[in-house]
Amino acid sequence: MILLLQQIIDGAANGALYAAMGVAIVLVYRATGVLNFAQGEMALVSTFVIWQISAWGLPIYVAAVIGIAFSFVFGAAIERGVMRPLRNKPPLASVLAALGLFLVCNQVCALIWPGAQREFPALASPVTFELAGLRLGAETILLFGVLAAQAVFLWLFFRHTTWGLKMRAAADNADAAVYIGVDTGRMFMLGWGLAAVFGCLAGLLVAPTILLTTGMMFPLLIYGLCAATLGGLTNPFGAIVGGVIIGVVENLTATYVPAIGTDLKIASPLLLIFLVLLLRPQGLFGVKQVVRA
Amino acid sequence: MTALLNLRGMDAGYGVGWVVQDVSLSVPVGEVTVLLGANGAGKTTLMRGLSGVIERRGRIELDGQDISRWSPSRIVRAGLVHVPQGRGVLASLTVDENLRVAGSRNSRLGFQATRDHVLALFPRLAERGAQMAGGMSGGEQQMLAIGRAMMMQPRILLLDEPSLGLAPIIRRQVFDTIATIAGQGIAILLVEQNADISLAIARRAALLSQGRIVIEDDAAAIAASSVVVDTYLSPAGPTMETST
Repeated sequence: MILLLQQIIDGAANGALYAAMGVAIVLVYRATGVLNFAQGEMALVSTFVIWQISAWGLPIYVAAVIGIAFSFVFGAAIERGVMRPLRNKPPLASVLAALGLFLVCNQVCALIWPGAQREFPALASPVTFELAGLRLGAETILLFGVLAAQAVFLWLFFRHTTWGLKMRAAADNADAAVYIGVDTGRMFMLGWGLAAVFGCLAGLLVAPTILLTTGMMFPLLIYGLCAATLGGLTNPFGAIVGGVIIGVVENLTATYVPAIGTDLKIASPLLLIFLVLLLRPQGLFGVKQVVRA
Repeated sequence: MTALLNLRGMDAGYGVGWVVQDVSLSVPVGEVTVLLGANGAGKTTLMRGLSGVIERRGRIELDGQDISRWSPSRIVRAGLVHVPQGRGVLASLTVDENLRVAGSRNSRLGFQATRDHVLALFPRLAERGAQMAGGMSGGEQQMLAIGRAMMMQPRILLLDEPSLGLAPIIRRQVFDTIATIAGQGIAILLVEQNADISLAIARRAALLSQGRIVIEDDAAAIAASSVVVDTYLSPAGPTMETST
């Protein structure tokens, strides 16, 4: 029983990472209809920037704030410079652009920061609390904090701020949003910038737990795509719930299904999504597309 | 009295020739000016040109300023607000959020007052505040579209086929409200295929045919001329409207 609870808690904490990537993918998809395969590698660039700033001697949290600001500008610039010119082109154009971006970001990191792997500064001290037989590391608590912060931010921003409402308006119906004075181009930039911030958050959180390498973000991209698809691709809250579900399912199957174990655990969320999409193609929280005749 | 919106030799189109040609028209404050025409006459194109979302040239004066080269958002800020055909409500936002996003440029105090004003015009919207706009009936969506435009405190409203797809009784309510709004000192340019119901609330009317204005006169005079209606507006002519 304790083991089960422990696995659920640890899985849900991991869900914070998947949720952050999932939200990033949803924000971009909802704003511009692009499935951004480069989301993870864009985050990789930002994570390396944070590492570099911290290696220069600044405290990790200062470096993180600078890196997150950088990721916002970086994401917005990619939208304006790479994606905007392709906006009214066939969808394949932006898919290829995203794949190109994937390679460029990855190779640029390898070029600037050569070598196999880097130690990334810890974000939480290595203390562990015992609570009724459960072990709660400071890092787990940090992950839960980030998870909650993401949900609260999304709720406040998209429901209660003018910018959030305008972004939703531009994503809902860009043509109509123009008529109520929304600068849709600026909203798309903001969407990409914000997405990059969530991606950067995932990179920042994962880097201390594994080593910082150029291959670090790819599995997270898969998890993020899973979280986003499970949640419904157009609903950022859905991506958060999806991320937590995936984290828990992954951990439970790895522990209790011997055939899966740790080697195959990335496969279990994919199987879960396959089943969900069979039964509910719009995802858990997505809106079913109704096409009028 | 000089009109708020003055067009002189305006053309508009989508980059391959001009669909609307050489239009001259005046839209004064405090009354409804209706632009009639059959399907494909260029009414919507003319409105899109005025809003700045498609190519246009010629003289387009809003309160004496030439807006023919302005961006769509600048035109909106100057007080020319367009309610597009098919209403363009933001389906995944609630009614309240639709109003808030449109009124976001107002100060907090101004916002409350404007919102109260809009809800007084369309009491139905107050009951539907928390509902998703996409789940409302066609009539409610049309009310929301006009109400949302009013949140932007317009000086001139462009209404593109507000009667489209509405039941007669709802249509009557919507058109009564349009007349009320005009009476509050706002210029209204109304585009319609429905001649009778729009001529009833308009003071001036113009008839667009193949992208050009062929007749401009008092609404009453045009309504009285069966030749006009039969020639340019059939088959969506008077016979359809006798039931209302």
